[in-house]
Amino acid sequence: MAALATFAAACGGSTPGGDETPVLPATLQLNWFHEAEFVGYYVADAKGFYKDDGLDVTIMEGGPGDPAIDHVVDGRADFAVSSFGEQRDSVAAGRPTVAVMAAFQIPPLVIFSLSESGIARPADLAGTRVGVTTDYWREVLQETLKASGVKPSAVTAVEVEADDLRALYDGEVDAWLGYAHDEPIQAEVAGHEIRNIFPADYGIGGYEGLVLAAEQTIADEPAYVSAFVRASQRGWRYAVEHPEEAARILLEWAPDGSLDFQQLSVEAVGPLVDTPQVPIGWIDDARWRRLMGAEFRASRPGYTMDFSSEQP
Amino acid sequence: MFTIRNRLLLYFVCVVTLTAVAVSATSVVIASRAAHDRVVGQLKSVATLKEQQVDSWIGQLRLNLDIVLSDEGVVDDLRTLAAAPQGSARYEAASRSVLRRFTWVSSRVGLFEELFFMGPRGQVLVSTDKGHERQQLGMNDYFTKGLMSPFIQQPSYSLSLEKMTVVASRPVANGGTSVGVLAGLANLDSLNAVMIGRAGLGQTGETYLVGSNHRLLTALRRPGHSIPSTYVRTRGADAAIDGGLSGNATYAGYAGEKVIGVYRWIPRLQVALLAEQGESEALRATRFALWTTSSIAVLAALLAIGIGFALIHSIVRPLSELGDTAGRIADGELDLTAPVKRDDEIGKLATSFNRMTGRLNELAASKERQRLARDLHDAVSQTLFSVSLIAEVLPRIYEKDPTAGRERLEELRQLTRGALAEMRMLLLELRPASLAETSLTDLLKQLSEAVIGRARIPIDVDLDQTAQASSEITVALYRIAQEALNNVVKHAGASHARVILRASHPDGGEALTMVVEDDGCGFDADDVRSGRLGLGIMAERAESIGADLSIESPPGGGTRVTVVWAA
Repeated sequence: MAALATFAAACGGSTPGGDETPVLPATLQLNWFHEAEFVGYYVADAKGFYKDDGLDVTIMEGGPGDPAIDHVVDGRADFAVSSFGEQRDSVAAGRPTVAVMAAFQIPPLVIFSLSESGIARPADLAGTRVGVTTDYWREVLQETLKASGVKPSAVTAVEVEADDLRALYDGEVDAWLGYAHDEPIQAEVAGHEIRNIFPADYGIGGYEGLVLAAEQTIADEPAYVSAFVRASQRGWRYAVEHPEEAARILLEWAPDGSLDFQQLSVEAVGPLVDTPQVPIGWIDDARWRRLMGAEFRASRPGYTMDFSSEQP
Repeated sequence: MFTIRNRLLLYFVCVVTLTAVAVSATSVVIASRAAHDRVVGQLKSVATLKEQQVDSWIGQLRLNLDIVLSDEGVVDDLRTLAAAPQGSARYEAASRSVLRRFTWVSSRVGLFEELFFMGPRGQVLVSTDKGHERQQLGMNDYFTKGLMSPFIQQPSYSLSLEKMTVVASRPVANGGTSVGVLAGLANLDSLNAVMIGRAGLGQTGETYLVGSNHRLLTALRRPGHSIPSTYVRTRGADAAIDGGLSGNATYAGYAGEKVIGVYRWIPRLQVALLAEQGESEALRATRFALWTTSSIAVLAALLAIGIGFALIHSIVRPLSELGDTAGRIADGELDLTAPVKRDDEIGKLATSFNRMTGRLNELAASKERQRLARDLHDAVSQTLFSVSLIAEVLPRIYEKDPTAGRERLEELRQLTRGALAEMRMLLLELRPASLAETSLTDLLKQLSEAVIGRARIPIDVDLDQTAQASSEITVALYRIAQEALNNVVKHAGASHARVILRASHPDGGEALTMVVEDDGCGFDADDVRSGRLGLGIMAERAESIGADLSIESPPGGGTRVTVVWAA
């Protein structure tokens, strides 16, 4: 609301003295701890893309518990990152959240194993033990197996501790489910060669890393939203084309990881974000509808591509 | 500074240098344009050739898909796969049959890494890569578009294969109904082989493909640019990809150095084709031409300047020599003639110049003769006329009165002597050299006698016979005495005059004192000051020999002019 007033004042009146555009504050609420899946926003901030578009963006770290999507609904944040599932549920529940861009064209979900195990496709998982950390991952595994014609009973899902890949290294489990920019990179940094299976190849998952804004914000301040989306897209493009620099910037936000880790992490994210067919952040209508399934309402689609800086 | 010679030289040098510079600059510009155009033409040919090869590659992909379906049985089998339940015997048989066909085509051609068939909902029903069966690919444009017409997907990164691939697809229809989509996955190896062929590109030239998101697709000449993580954002790539344009330009290449580039947008594959050559290599021939032309221009200019110097010299030297001669003639060398060396404008000028000085000499000589003739007439004929008068009456006077007659005779004697002296003076004037040869005492004596004869005033001469002087002093003192006696005759109204010359030897040196005095009316002080009475001349002469001149009226009256010269 404060942003609205300031923005209206900025648009209506003329700036006294000089031609400096007024800088508007904006808050982006992440839905997890600082990591490579948000690297586009860190880069946009560090390279001054937000500043170029007249925004002063504060990036708030997220974590388990307090969902980022709630921040947008109750006004604590102007923008938030969410998963596709969260947004679908939100739209189904009638909450006024709208996706303005989707960072990931391909979801960063992987089933990975050590190269020497020879597991290259879901069919190879039959008769193996696969590590899952949460129910969500268990579900991802089941769906992938179903989609690829493997009987779920042929694969043993084993509960494992997050961030402790020793079970994989020791051979207790033959494969592991995780995010492309996280667990497999950990294994690589630890010196192991790994092989990824993307459930996306089997139709699992869709857009990820959505950026949500409140319906009210979009209606009242379209230029403001447009500026944020434009600068964010620019940040992602720069990150994809300059992974070393992006990794260094990421390291400032997430100093716990090593530079090697962050760089491999950023490189893993690149092909999932940047595809030749569509501009970065694009949401395709046909695909969105299919992913929304029964929850899709033409009157309230739950996304808008009006703010994208490029068209495919 | 601004002599004719320097001006001529300056103009000449300017003209020659400017011409040389203009000619060489123009030829270099033309040469470099020609070289540039040639390079662009060559790159365009190469680009056209490669584009055709890309097209032919695409055509090959399509053709192979068509070949797969050219067998009647295959379409039926595919329909079965799409319709029959999985796992049934019919399904399995159809699957095996299709797989045989796929494998046969694929192995024959080697273009496709994988051939697969997607059912109406986008699920892979059969593939040469068994592990891909059941893959859900309905979201891909090669499925959605391939349902309707043959489609080539632009090069995309395959996550599972971890490399760039191109998928070609086409609809499979039975009668009017769609059965599914047949697709083949090709890697870019053969395309890469096409692009890295170097024919016609010199040493630094290369061709490569860039995808629609600026990703590098085929190998670059320089190491260190991996595919596909290299992004190409040069002017050529941007123009082709962002603008969909085809053209050529000179710009900074992907490695930073300047290149001449031809860029093409290939919409069928949604890629940009770039053919580039390093600018410095391309223009090496031009640089050689530039160097050669400049050297020749410089040599020509130097040669021309050298010749110019010689030419100018040959014109200006005779002119300045003529000037020198004129100067010397003006200074008094009246017998000098200008040398006539050539029969050109300067020769004509010298000849005219000589004729002119000859004329002037004649004129001067005739003027001098006229003056002398007049002097002779004035001085001598007057006296002779008097002489003849007296001679005529003399006999009668002598008869009547011998004493009177003897007086008249004396008068006659004086007159003739005067005339003689006058003649001698005139002769001396005619030959200035003899003036210097005659001794001072002789000169003063003759002068006095001439004046006596002319003016009938008795003049006493009291000359120290030992007085000697150089010709310069002699002439000066003579002129002073001449002027002083002139004054006596003309202005003094005197009845008697005297000329005294004394030599003395004070302290062993030479000294001369000359006095000319008369008993006339004296002079006005104002006349002395105003320089009248020839006193200016007398003063000049005295000063020229370093003698003291004084003019005074002694207490007895009259005028006395005293000149004292000491060695």
